[in-house]
Amino acid sequence: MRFKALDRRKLLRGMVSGSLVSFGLPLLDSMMNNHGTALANDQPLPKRFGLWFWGVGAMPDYWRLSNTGLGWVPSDGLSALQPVKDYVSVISNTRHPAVPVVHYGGQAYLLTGRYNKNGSDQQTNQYGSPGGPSVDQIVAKAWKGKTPIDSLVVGVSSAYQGSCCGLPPTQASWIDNNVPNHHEFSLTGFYKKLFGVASDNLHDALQRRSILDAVRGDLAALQSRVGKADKLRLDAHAQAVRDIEVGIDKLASSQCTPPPAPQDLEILPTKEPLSERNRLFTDMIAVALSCDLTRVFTVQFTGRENDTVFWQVGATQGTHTLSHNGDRASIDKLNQAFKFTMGEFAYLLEKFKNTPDGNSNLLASSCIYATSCVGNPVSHSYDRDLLLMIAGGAQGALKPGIHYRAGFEMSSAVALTALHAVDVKLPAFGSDGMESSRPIGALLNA
Amino acid sequence: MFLVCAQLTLGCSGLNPRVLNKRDRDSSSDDSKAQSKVNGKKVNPKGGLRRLTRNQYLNSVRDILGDVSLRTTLDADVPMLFLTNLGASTVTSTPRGVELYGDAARDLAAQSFADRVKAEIFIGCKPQQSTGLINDCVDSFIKRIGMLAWRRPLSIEELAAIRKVHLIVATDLNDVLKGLEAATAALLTSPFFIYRSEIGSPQADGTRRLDAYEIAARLSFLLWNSTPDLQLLEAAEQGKLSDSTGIQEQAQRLLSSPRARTALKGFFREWLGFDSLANLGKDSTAYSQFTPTLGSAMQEEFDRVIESLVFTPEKDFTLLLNLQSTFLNAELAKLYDLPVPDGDPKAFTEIELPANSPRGSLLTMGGFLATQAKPDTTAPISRGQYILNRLLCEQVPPPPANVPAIPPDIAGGAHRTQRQRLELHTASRGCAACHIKMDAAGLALEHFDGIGAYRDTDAGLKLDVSGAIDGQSFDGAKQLSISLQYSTRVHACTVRHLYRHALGALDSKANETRIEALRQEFTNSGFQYQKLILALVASESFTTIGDLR
Repeated sequence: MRFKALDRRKLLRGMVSGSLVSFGLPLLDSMMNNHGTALANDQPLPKRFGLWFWGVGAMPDYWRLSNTGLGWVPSDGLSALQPVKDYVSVISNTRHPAVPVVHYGGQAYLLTGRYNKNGSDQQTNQYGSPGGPSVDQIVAKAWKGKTPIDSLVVGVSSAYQGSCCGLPPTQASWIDNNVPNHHEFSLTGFYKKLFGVASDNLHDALQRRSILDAVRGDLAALQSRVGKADKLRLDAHAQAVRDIEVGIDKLASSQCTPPPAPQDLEILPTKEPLSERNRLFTDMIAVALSCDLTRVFTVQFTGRENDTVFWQVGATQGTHTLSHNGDRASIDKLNQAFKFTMGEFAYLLEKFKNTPDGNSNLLASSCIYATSCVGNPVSHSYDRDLLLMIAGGAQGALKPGIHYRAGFEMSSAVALTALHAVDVKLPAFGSDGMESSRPIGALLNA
Repeated sequence: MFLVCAQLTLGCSGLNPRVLNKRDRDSSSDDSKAQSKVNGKKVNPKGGLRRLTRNQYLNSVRDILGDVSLRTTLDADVPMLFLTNLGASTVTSTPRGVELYGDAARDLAAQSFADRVKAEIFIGCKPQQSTGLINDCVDSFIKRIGMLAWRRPLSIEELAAIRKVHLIVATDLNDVLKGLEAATAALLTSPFFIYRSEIGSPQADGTRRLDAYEIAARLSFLLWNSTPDLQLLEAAEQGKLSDSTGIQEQAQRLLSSPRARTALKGFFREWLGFDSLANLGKDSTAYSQFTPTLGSAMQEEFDRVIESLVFTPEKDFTLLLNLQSTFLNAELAKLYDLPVPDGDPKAFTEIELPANSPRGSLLTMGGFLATQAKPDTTAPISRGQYILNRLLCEQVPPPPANVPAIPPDIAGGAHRTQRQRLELHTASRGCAACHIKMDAAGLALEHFDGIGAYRDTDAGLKLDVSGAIDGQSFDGAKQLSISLQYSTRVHACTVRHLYRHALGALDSKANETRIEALRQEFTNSGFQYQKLILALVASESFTTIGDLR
């Protein structure tokens, strides 16, 4: 049995009022119990939750698996997952009821379980967009305050960063109905957020805090004058200000060792450095999760109905355009783009697998829900042919490495399963006839 | 399958088609009298908070601080019906967005104070270096920057709160300039800067009259897309914005500045979909002629046409659909098959369009044709939908779930035209209710390919560009454009977009009398766009809100 020395400074930093509330500290061996299976005070190691999103689905013939149960054999479309497949469960054949919008209805259901019913008179372009918080933000809210940062949300491909073409916003992560989340597209901005608060700059912290004091007063004054809808908007703003104030202290005491600082890469619309950006973002996310700066992350690899050009596989048109072309060559390109996308998902999974966490690894601690916005890209179906995945072990809560072919389950059962795996035990996920109240038992350890 | 198409059919049969007709030009809406009885609270749209758009934020900080650059990403604008100003009335800031407002404010303030010599010029007086002291110079600086940033004078309590920020930081760092830098950052982090408030005070009839500073800001963001200048704020202070004459005087002053041209072009780009040309990508195998510089040239053509229609005295704005000339550089002239202007190939020249040219309308501009197209082919549905949405203000329901792909352009080795493909797509499915309108308008433009070049045939196949909308028939782009030029629905839709943009509110049936009155004024002025702006700012809707959102 090894004796674990715990130095006094770390002990002090970790102890407040007798309980362990360390913020932003890497889970050092010395903070663990003797087996590395729990924190020193016998609190369980934290679970992490991720949402990994890609747009425009995948051709079912290209990814469909031939066998079910443990030990699934990757199809060509999923071949990039081979090295980590024991950590990945694939869920096929789930169902959705149809909603009257095609391009974004699937995104609404798969990510938030509900859709926005405002504007059904077609007067606005909100109708059918996500109607509540997305699954990552549900977890972020449930775990609010446990870490300096509630959640990290990044966008890799810049094609359609926000809105396009008069359609609702394309973001994968939503804070609530009609509130698309901010997706970080800047590598340097993301780095600054995570590692830019110098722990010794008390002057800086004082300046920020005094400014926020004044802002809080202004918010209160303004809130007393506005109508109901605006008051809600200011409530959200005021909550964010409070979170920043709390976060200043927590981040300043963080002992995360930053990875090398990235440079922003030049982005040409038809020549995006997708792989490079994805990997730099992923590396930073892994560090942030590893040292407990946050426990929730979202990667929007490509946006909903994006027109990302996968020049890496020789495409000259965006994926959404390819999906509408209707010819074999376009479908081949779509398939190659999907295979490439899965390669980038595999990068994250491997990175996590190689990042130690306690006596195990970050992937074993995580639960990552991966989905697109549609099933078959050509028909834009989102009520069938969906490829859904749950990756990671969630500290033993998940039974990974399974191909589960659904018999009757709604797609929302998959999101619900992911939520239950990280102990966010909502009674149901979704509404409007597509809700599910039963997590998929085959994927969970009792 | 049947259900899906039934939904779509219902959606479109719900639309209320009116005949596009030249005779409509001066007719007035029958129900306008009935609607004028609706009380003022309903006639005036609601007001409240409008978050600065990214451009408004950037313009404002430059007007307040001088030459600074925004090095932080802000929360994305969320446009509603194409307009960021409309979405700004409902958008909620994200937690990260709020954090970034703080980061941006501190970075911008730091830029203004980076050079001590320049900072003292910016402050405008010499703040005493005796640490932390509140003195006249500090006060006058906070009041001036506060007035510009919050678009109104600060109250005594507000001034005290900003002074406190100054004092804490100046004392901590023993540096009065650092204190003022922090005070500046505090002013820019405040919700009073980030959100424009249009709250007003209640009147006897239940409406709320905006105060003079709120009106000044409405005017300034409409015409300069930025914070009001000191002259406008003084006019507000002196009560010069209390009647429509005073408001129109200031509007005219703002319109005469080059800044109004930039601001209004920004609005037209959003409304008419010319805001993404810089990033437009085309399939290089299908369109080897297309280059990024061509996209920018198309943008420039549009900007110049808009500028000439809006800023040439007495110009008829509806000529946007019946242009006698346009502005081209060499690359664009070549695409349009027109004589290349002499001189610098990059320079833009106004060129008369020959009578036999197929060009001469918004709908034959490269920027429209290339944006409303696919990377390798045309997109008649998008083009038709554009005409319905943006020119006729008619919303098309979203496509139904599981809509099948449009049949390919090549079948059994034979090429199909877009018309043939769309007929196959819609014929047997009962989905024609919407497509019949969109497709007719879009197919009329089939002589222009996916980057806007003219073509006689589609891969050798003859093109049928005839069609009808609401009983008005046309043959090709020019006839379609002219029928739209004379359509009262297009005129009303032009008014509607300005109304939405200026007031940050969606028009409803209750506001219809206002829209109709403005359309009449627009028509009576011979469709002078500046006259429309002046009529709008002089109207009650501009100074009064019905209620708080």
